Amino acid sequence: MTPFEEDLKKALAKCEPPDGFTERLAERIASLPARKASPMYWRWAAVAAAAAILFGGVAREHQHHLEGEAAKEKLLVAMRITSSKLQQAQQQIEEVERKQ
Amino acid sequence: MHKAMVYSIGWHFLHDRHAAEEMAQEVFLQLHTSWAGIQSREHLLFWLRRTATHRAIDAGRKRRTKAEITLEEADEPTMLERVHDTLLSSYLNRMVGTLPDKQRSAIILRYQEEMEVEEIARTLDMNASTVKTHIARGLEFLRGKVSRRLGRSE
Repeated sequence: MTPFEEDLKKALAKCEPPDGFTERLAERIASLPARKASPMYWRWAAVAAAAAILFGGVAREHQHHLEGEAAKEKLLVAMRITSSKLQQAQQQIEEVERKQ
Repeated sequence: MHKAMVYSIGWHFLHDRHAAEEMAQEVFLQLHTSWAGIQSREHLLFWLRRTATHRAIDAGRKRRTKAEITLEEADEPTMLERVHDTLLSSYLNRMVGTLPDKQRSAIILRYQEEMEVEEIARTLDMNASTVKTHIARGLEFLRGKVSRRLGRSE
């Protein structure tokens, strides 16, 4: 930056607004009519709703998947138990027959 | 602080405290109603600079043409503003107020806000080379004025 540009920078230094600026602004904001939701708000609301729906769907899907997995696991365990019981029963029968 | 930044853009553009305050208040009122669209701290700064500059240009156009504003008519700086004020600063400040809108905007954003040319270009919807031209022409005009007025050469 040249000396002239430095001078210009000094000349254009920021200055504070007059006293009471913030209070006057606050009064004007307070006197504004109740805000209507802006189009941007509705856009975001739509995105949020879509996300909620999508997430809800995904979550439900996931829940169904987990429930299905658990049910499958239970069934397999039950079948294993049944199979082992059947096997035991079969062995007992064979043992009894052998003794006879 | 953002309020000093917005007010200063108005003050350096319009050289009228009441008009600068009114413009700054309008910018913050607009921010209040547009708050939902502000995405980040950087976006807020960009938005404020851009809105303040455009509003200052509009306010300047509604006022009398710059040719009609004499140095005597321009507002005197306040006591606070006088602290760092020198003859040269005061004169330069007023001369910036006589530049064409686009040159004035570019000069204020470059030397008040210390923005890079590319940032100014985005703020003013111009390409970078146009901004450079506006700054160069503005500087040339100001240098000429200062040289003639104060007998100073660069």
